[in-house]
Amino acid sequence: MKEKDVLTDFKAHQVILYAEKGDNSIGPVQTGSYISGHYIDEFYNFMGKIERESFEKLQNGDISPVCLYMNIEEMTVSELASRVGLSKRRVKKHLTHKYFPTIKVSELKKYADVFNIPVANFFQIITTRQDNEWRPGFKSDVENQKPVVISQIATGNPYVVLTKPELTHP
Amino acid sequence: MSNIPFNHVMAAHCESGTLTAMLNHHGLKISEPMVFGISSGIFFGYMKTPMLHFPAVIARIQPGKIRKNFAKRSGIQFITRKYSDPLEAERELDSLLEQNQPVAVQVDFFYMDYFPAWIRVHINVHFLAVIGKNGDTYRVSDGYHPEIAEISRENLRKGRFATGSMAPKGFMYYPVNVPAEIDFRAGIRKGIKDTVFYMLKIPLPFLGVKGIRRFADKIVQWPKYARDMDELAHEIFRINVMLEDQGTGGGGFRYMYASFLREAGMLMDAPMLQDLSRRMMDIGDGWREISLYSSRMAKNRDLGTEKLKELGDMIRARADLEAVFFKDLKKTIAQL
Repeated sequence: MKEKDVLTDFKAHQVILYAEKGDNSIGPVQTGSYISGHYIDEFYNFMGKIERESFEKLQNGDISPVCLYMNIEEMTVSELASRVGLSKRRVKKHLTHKYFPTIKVSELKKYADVFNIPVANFFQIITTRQDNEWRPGFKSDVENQKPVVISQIATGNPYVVLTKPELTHP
Repeated sequence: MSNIPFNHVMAAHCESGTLTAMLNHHGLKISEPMVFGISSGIFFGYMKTPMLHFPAVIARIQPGKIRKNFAKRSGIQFITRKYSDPLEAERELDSLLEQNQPVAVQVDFFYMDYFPAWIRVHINVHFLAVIGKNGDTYRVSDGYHPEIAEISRENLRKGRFATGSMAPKGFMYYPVNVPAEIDFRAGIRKGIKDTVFYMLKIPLPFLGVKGIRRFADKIVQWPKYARDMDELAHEIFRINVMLEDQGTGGGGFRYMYASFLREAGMLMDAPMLQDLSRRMMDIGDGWREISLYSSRMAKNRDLGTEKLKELGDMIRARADLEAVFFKDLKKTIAQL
């Protein structure tokens, strides 16, 4: 593959590919990711669909918030169980609306760590500025025009998060 | 506060890239492809386990082996540590940074929040070098990131102590003794011999060239794992990710291996290795074509049995070429 054939213009996701250079040597070329550069919308459409379907199931009481995040992160029950150190049987129960209230807070903390969210987010659906920042098309100047943005800030207490609406133009 | 001067460069692969950067920092001039080739990095495996929603392909050897194999073949000594206590791990890391010692660590990629959310997945075998600390923020040289990045103490700790399969357990390493003279010729020979074994002789049907054939045979069955066309397309897109974006240097590591063979050929004054490098580039082109073809198929939702068979045939052609290639590589290295 020639150097010119591997180049993709996509700044947000850079990779190193090896290719033939002009002098016939083979060397590293820094370029944008082909798949991110050409098909990122496909990814977000698919993940958006998973998110919407799971959210609807959550609202209908068909699944638990743990299941919502497991679906969003595309994890299997085996992987989740292995990461939180619980049996698959127990995790399967925790994925249901019926058994969600039986989860200990310490277990919820383990789930929260795996999904890298505050424990509080198992009890509220919230979209923060931090979540949006990575989305394609995010423009900080547009975001800053909004009257209020919501941020979540970790505190010294692992069970408590500071959820803070902020006026962008105080 | 510590801020170690460190030459940050992007790398094709996190494990070989971090090792190369650490060795360069300690004065050994060596390229990433040489590290990758000497440590027998290239491989192929077709996996389907309960941990995975869908089958996956891997194109490199077991995580951790690159450093281990390179250490054995170069005589370089490393200090390695694993921890059960995250606080002890942090204390030792901080102490080493204070002594101006960059430290390579193994982490779960998911917590490296300097990357875009869409590429961050749970994978416990990502490597990077920690090169400084300022308050509760660490400076890291991550080969997948264009610049030196910063990460919070909390996220680095979560990454180092993630649980699950291949848990990092706070693993860290740094070189302590780099010999003045290293017999790279012997390392190249051993690296190639092991690669040939891994690709041709491992007696398991899903590894090496046999793994490529299994991939070719099984791809037509992928629809049965998907709940709908969108999910199937999503997984077919991932073929491109697994072969190109996931730290392979393109073409499922085949281009980087071609670069290694070229460099090895020059070092050993062996034109035959240069010829093999050319052939490996062609094999890489074929893998790249598979990546592009599969993403086009996924985009167009053109995922019928006939089309999947066609993709399977393209993969099988790689298996045929690689079987011959590695046999020839074996013959060549026996003569050097």
